[in-house]
Amino acid sequence: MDGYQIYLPIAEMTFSVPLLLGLGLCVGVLGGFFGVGGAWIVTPALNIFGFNMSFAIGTDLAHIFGKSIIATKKHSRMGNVDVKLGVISIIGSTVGVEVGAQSVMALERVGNVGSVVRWVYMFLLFGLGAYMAHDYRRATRQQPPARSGAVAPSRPKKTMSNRLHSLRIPPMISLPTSGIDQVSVVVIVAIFLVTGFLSGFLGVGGGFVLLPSLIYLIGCPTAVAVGTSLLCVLFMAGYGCFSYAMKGRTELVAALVMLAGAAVGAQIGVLATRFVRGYGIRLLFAIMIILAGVSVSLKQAQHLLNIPFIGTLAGYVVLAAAGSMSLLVTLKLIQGAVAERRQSQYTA
Amino acid sequence: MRRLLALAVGLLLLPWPVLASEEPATALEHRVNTAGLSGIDLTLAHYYNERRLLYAVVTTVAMAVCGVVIAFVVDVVLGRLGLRVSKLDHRE
Repeated sequence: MDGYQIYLPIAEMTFSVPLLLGLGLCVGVLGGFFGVGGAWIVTPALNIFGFNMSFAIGTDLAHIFGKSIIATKKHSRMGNVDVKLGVISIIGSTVGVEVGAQSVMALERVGNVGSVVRWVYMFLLFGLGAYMAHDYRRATRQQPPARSGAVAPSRPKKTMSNRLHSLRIPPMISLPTSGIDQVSVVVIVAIFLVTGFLSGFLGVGGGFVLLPSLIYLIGCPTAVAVGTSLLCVLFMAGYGCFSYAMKGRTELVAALVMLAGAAVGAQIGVLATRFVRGYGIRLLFAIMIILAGVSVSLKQAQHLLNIPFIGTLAGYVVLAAAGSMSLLVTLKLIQGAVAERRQSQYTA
Repeated sequence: MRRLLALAVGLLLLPWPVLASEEPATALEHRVNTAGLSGIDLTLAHYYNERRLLYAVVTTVAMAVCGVVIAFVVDVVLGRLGLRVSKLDHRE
């Protein structure tokens, strides 16, 4: 190690230690709070700061694996992990991750992996972000002031998860932790197959696709979706880590340094979920992934227009977005903890 | 259903136009230059070059062990500080 730089023997480059620690800290906070791996921040950031895209993906999956163990343990103590649902996820996810990873290797032979991954990233980040923001707006509008006897009770809305629950494809299963009476195992496995594919293809732990899937398709409460998503991310990232290491695309030293930062951040993020309501988490998540989408778009524009400055700007956007959101989550934690302490003093 | 189908087709077709882009291919069989390396760096580079399966196992196990150890230590430290977490009611 030379000053604040560290030599990464597998990637054969030197890299800034504070940058790795800072990235780890930010995605640790966001991972613990949103139940995501945070690869949609780290993979583009590592790529922007000099890592080859496939190395960025593999290294990121390794660090996500370690970090998810820490955050999942914490969430399970808070009753936020649906273990049964998480275990079913292994089947679909591991197959999906391998298919995704093989697709990346196939694209690498053609020589376009970075560009293709960025296009898919952009599509998913903007699409999911816009949908979740729209859902938040709709949910907050749908809470009219109660007028006694003025309006007849409306029929419960037919959500996407209700429709999927009504598919009676055996075997059926009940998920009490998530508050679900009956759902088909086949439907759950199919959902995890798709999220696993995206995980392997994009080099993400799968959380940013998984969290909305668990909320909108499976119908979990937001906090349970966060905890269960982390359990699934853990399995997917563990398999992805091994798979990418076998393909020689993982830098262990960088992953370990990032894990040190993420260990602290994950504690902050998990504890903050105690003080923010489900829809609040969804809105912040939507904002975060739209900002990540802006960053990836800038990176793609840099490649298409061949203007290096746009790439640098993309790096700053993703780091500023992650930094600001981590700060906001930390402030929410402090605010909540102070209020809780005041209340306990008042009641005592 | 139609919307879902359109979404799936869009997702599949979206990457193909960029196959014509100019990003260079990466060597699939990457070998690390071990000259100037020593200690753990050299060991890792050796595993990477000569025993890839062992390198993958070491990487995966190292991340898992570090995760478990850190989670355990932090739990103990936070417990000593009186910051234990318990089951929550879920609020939407």
